Amino acid sequence: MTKTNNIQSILSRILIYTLLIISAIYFLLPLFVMIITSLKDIDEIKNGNLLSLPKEITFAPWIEAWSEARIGSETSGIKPFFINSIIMTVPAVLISSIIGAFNGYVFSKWRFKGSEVFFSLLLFGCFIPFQVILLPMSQTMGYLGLSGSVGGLIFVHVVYGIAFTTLFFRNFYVSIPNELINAARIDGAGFFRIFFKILLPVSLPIFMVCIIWQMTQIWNEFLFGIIFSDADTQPVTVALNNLVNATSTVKKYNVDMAATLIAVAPTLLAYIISGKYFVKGLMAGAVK
Amino acid sequence: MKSLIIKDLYKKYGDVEVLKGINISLQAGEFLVLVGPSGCGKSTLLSTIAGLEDIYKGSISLGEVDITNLSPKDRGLAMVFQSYALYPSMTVRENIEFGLKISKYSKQEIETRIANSASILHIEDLLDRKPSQLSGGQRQRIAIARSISREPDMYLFDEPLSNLDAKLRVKMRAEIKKLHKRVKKTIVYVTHDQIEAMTLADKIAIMNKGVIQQFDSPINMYENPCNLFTAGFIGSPSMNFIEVVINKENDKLFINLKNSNGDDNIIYVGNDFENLDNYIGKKVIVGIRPEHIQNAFRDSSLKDKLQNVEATIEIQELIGSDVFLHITLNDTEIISRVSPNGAKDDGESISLHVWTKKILFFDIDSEQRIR
Amino acid sequence: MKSKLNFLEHYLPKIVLAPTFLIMIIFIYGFIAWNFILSLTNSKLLPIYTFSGFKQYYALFDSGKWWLAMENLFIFSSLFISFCLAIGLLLAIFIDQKIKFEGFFRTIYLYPMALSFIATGTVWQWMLNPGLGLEKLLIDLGFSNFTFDWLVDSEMAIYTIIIAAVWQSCGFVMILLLAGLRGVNYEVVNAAKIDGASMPLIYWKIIIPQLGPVFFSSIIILLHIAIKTFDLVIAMTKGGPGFSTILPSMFMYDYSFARNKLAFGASSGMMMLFFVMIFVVPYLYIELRKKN
Repeated sequence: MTKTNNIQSILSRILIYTLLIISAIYFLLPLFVMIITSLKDIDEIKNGNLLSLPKEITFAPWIEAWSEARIGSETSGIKPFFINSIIMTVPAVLISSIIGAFNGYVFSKWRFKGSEVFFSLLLFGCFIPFQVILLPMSQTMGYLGLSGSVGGLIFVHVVYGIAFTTLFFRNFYVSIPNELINAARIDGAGFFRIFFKILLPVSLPIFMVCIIWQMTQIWNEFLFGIIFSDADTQPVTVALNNLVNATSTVKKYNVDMAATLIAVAPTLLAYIISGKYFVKGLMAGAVK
Repeated sequence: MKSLIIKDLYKKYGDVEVLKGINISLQAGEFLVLVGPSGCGKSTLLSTIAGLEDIYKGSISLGEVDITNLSPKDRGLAMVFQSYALYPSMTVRENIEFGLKISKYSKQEIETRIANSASILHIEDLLDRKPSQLSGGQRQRIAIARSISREPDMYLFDEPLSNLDAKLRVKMRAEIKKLHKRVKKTIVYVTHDQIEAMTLADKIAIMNKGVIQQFDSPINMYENPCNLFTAGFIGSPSMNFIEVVINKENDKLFINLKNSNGDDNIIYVGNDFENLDNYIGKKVIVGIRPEHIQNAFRDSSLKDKLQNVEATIEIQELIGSDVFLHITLNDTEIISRVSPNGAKDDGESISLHVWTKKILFFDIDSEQRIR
Repeated sequence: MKSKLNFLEHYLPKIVLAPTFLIMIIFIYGFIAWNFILSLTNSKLLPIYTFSGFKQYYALFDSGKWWLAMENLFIFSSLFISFCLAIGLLLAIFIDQKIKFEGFFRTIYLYPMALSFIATGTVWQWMLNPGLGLEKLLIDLGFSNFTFDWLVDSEMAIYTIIIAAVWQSCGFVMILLLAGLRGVNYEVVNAAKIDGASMPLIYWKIIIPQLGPVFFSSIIILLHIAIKTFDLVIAMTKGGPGFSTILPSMFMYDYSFARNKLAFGASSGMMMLFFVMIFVVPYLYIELRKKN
C-alpha cells in the first residue's frame, strides 16, 4: 500500500517537473531564437534553420542595429531612439508614480464625501480604449505646441498612467491600519508629515510594483509613440517597427533580432533584477 | 487633572445617527469605561473625544477648555489603540520621540521623558528595537509608554487588551489599573468586555445603539441596573430573565415560578416597590442573578430573607469553585450558581433558595426597571 | 473657533486630488465627449464642427471592413482568453505543487510580459515565417512535407497573432491564478481529502470553483488587452494579408490618421469604448460594491 503510494507520488513528481520544463522551453524558445539569430551572419541564417547554433559568432548585426541601420530616412541605427525612450520613460514613470502615491494616500486615508465616487470614475480610466481619446488628444497637443515632442509623449503617458498608479497605491495603503494614521494625528503630525514619515518608509514594495509596471507600459508603448512623435522623437518601439518592416532593403533577420533584443533589454533587465518584488506585489494585489 | 464634560453630543454618518445625544460628566482623575456590544457607538464616541472624527452637534470640554473644535494634537490627550499603532518603520525610541519632536520639546526634555516612561513600563531594553521584533504584550507596553511620555491631561484607550491572549490580558489589566493610580489622570477606556469594565472603572457608561443606557459606578451597575439591557450586559453568567405574572393576595404581592414538573413555587416579593402595584395581573420580567438563586448562602443573617424554590437539575457544569445548574422555571431555562458541596445528579430535584430582595422587575414593553 | 491650520488640514486632501480630478474630467471624460461630438460631424482631414447626425455610424455599420475587424476581434479575444486561462491555470496548478525552484519557473513564465508587443510580434513573425522559420526547422528535422504558412494565409493569419499573444500574456494569468490558489480555504481541501477525494477531483470540484472571482478579473483584464491589441498585429501582419487580420483598433487608426476620415475614425473609437463598457462597467460596479 505505502509502496504503491510512494511510486505513484514519485511518478507524479516526474510528470510535474517534465511539464514544467517543457513549458519553460516553450517560453524561452523565442528568446533563444532571438539571441542565436542575432549572432549569425545572413548567409548562415539562410542556410541553417531556426535552432541551429551559430558556427561563427558575429557581433556585426548588433553594431549595425545599434548605430548603422537605416531607420526612416536616417542611417542612425536604433541608438537615438533608444535615448528618446529613456528621456521619455524616466520622467513619465517618476511623475505618474509620485502623483499616484499621493492620490492613493488620500483615497485610502483621507476619504471625504464623494471621494469613493471620484475613485470609481478614475478607475474607469484604466479601461478605456485609447482609440477613443486619440483624436481629441492630437488636437490638444497641437494647441499646446507639444506635437511631435518627447515632452508631449511624457505628458500623455503621465495623464493616462495616473489611473493605474493611483489604483496600486490606494490598494496598498488600504491595507495599512487607520489606527496608525490616528496615532500620528494625536501625536500632532499633519497631512504631509504622516505621508512622509509613516507611510513612505513602508512603501518600497508598492513603489517597486508601480515603477516596474509603469516602466514596462511606457517603454513598450507603441500607439501613442507612432501618433504623437516626429521622425526624430520616435520611441524605440516605433523605430524598431520601422526597421523591421522597412520594405526597401533586403531582410536582415540578424539585425532585426539584435535590434529587438536591444529594444527589450531595459524592461527585461528590470524585470529579471526586481521581478521577485513585482510578482509578490502583484500576487498580494490579485487576491483582493 | 481635568474633568471631562460631554454635552448633547450627536454624530452622523450621512443620514445615520450613530451617537444620539451623549451626556457624560466625569470628574478629574476618574477612570471611565465605555462598554457595550459591537456597533453600539463606543469607539466612535472615543474618536470624537480624541478629535479624530467630526461631530454633528454638541460640545466636549476638558477642564475649563472647550475642545470641541480643536485638532487632536491640541486637546492635550494621548491614545492607546487596539492594534497598538506603532509606526512600523521606526524603532521604539523613535516611536516615543515622534510626537515629542513635533511638539518641539528640547532634546534633554525628550530624553528625560523617554527614560521616564520606559522605566515605568520596564521597556528600557527594547528602545532600539523595531516593532516587528516585539511580542504583542511588549508592543502594548510601548504604546502605553508612548502615551505616558506625552504627559497628557487625559488618556484614551481603545480596546487595548483585545489582541492579547487571556493570561496576558489579566496581567496588563492590572498594570493599567496601577498606572492609573500612579498618574492620577482622567482616563476614558473602551472595551466590549464587561469584566474589564467592572475591574477597571470608577464609572461605567453602558452604551447601546448610540445611546448611553446607564452611567454609574460598577457596583451600582451590578446591583441597580436601570433597564433590561444593562441588567443583561453586566454579570457572567448573565442575569436570568423569567416572564411572570404579578399577583396580590391578602395585601401581599407574589409571583409563581413553576418548575418543569408543573409544581408551584410561590415567592412573596415584599412591599418595597412604588409601582409594582400597577402591574397586578399583568406580565412582567423578573431578573435574578445566578448567585441569588442557590442552595447555600454563606451569610447566615440572610436566613429569613430567603424563600424556597424546588427545581429539577437538567444539566450541571462544574467550573471549579462553583457549579452552574441549568433548571427550568416558567418554561425558561435559567442558571443557578451553587456550591459544589452535596452534589446531586442530573435529573434529580433540588431545593434552592431565592434571595427575595435581589429580585428585579422590568416592564415587558419599555424594558425599564420597575422600582 | 476652527483654527486656520485646521482649515488648511481640512482642505489639503482635496487640494492634493484637484490636479487628478481636472486631468480625469478633461482627458478622460471630456475627451470622450469631444470624440463623440467629432463622430457626429463630417470632419475629414481637419475637425469641422457642423453637426451631421449619426451618418458616420450608419456608414460604419455598412462597412464590410468594420464587420471583418469585429469578427476578427471576436475570434481573437475568445481564443486568446480561453487559451490564456487554460494554460495559465495549468501552469499555476503545477507551480502550486510545492515544487523546487518555484521562483525560477515563475520568472521564466512571466518574462514575456516585460516585452513590448512590437518585440513579441517581431520574433514570432520571424519564427513563423514560412521560408526560414519553424517550417524549415521541421523540414530539416526530416518532415519533408511539412508546411506551416499561416502567417501568409489570409484564412489562418489571425491564429498566428493569437499564438504570439497567448505566449506573451498567459504567464500573467498564471500569476493571478496562483495568487488565487494560495488564497483558497485549505480547511475545505483537507476535509475533502479526509473524505477520500482524489486531487484532480478536489481541484475540479472544490478549488477551481473558489477561483471564480480571480477568473472573472482575469477575463476582464485579458478582454481589455484584446480590444486594445494593435502593435502586435502591426508587427506581425500589418493587418494583412489583405485586410484579413484587421482589428477595430487598427481600423480606427487607419481611418483617422492614414486616410483622413476623422469623423469616421471617431465613430469607430466610440464603438470600441461601447464594447469595453459593456463588460467593464458591470465589473467595476460589482468590484466596488464588494469593497463597501
